[in-house]
Amino acid sequence: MIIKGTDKEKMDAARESLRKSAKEYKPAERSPERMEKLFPKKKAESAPKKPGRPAKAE
Amino acid sequence: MSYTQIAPRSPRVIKGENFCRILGAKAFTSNAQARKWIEAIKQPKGSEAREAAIKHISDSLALPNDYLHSKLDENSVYKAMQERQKAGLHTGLTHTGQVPTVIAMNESDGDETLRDMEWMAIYQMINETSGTTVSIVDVISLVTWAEYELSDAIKTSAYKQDSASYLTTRRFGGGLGFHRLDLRNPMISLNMAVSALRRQALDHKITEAYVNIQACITAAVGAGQVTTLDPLGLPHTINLGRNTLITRNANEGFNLSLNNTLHLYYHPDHDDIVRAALFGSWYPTGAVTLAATATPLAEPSPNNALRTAGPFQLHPTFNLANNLGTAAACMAMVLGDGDNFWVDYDGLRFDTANEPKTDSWEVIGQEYYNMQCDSTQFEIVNLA
Repeated sequence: MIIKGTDKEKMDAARESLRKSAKEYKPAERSPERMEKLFPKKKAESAPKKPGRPAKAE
Repeated sequence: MSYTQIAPRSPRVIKGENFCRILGAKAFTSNAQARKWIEAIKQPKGSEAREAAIKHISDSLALPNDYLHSKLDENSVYKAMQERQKAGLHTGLTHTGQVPTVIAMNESDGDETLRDMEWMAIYQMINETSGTTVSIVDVISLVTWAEYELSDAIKTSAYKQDSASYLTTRRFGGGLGFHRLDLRNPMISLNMAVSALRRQALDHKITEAYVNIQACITAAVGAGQVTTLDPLGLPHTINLGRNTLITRNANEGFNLSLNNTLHLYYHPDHDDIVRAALFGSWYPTGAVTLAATATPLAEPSPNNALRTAGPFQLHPTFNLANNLGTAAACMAMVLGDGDNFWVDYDGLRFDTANEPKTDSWEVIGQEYYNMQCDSTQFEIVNLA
């Protein structure tokens, strides 16, 4: 949907939304649960083996 | 003798040293002397040197102090200054022939955090100084390219005026007038009005741009263009959002591929998280936050880390809410250019005019521009 500066209704609604969200501002949550959700920890055993030189034969 | 108005708007700007300097009061004539008086003040109470120092300083400050507390009118101040000059006590500003006016002109510069140019990145800037309307038409899709037999006529399609969409002008302006008598004040100039108008014009332009962007964000959310947080984490979520955004706009003639730069608009609250998702190969552990950590973060093998694909340009801005006006913390992933246009019809222009009805000089600033943004080029990526 193309929104022009002259679309008064949509622009006014957005202006109101910006004004309202500025009023209701609260800093983003920083809980360990949220961090775990955003960046799930990888299990070490699931890591594929690094490619590299094969181990020397005994 | 001429007078200027005395209009101290805020006592804090004329208190103390500045005010003494303005009225030509000289508590100290040199640094060495200042040190001498200060040392004397440090002497025990009742000592002669201390009393002499205090008397000198309070005498020097008496005039500005009395004036500041409205015990003297400006005429008395002027006369007193003349007397002191004759007595060799002051060599200050009396040569100007008038008491300078003290006015705090720029007490507020607005909220600087709301002033940024990040919005410019997603618009195609067009200068249309010869007309009042820009027509936007998709010419590429009018053409059908096909294979023909040797003797067949190639099909042509016609450009139709009514297939175009039009972007007309919007006019913005503001003005400031100074009464003719106020302009006698050497501290007031029309240039003040020009800089004030310029500042307000810029602020308004930035606001209009972000309102337009916010309108698209709202429309995108309304159309369900939201990538929710994937169980694999934020880097993967960003990749999913990118793919959705690019494939949705793939037939618009924007020359899209995985390598198109996408623009991420978000509140600076999320800056650390977004950067960690894009550039990090590590994860926070336990109660450690990304913003400030005293504990080293676990760093898994790079082979094991999910990476985001393609280039991103980051636009943290205080002009958008940290939930972008939606229910959850999120960011807007935007495909730049395309159908996003910013048209300057006439740049900021200033005129001055004498207005006899109010006996003032007015400075008027005005400019013409308009913009449009396509919500199809927006994908909202949830950060929660």
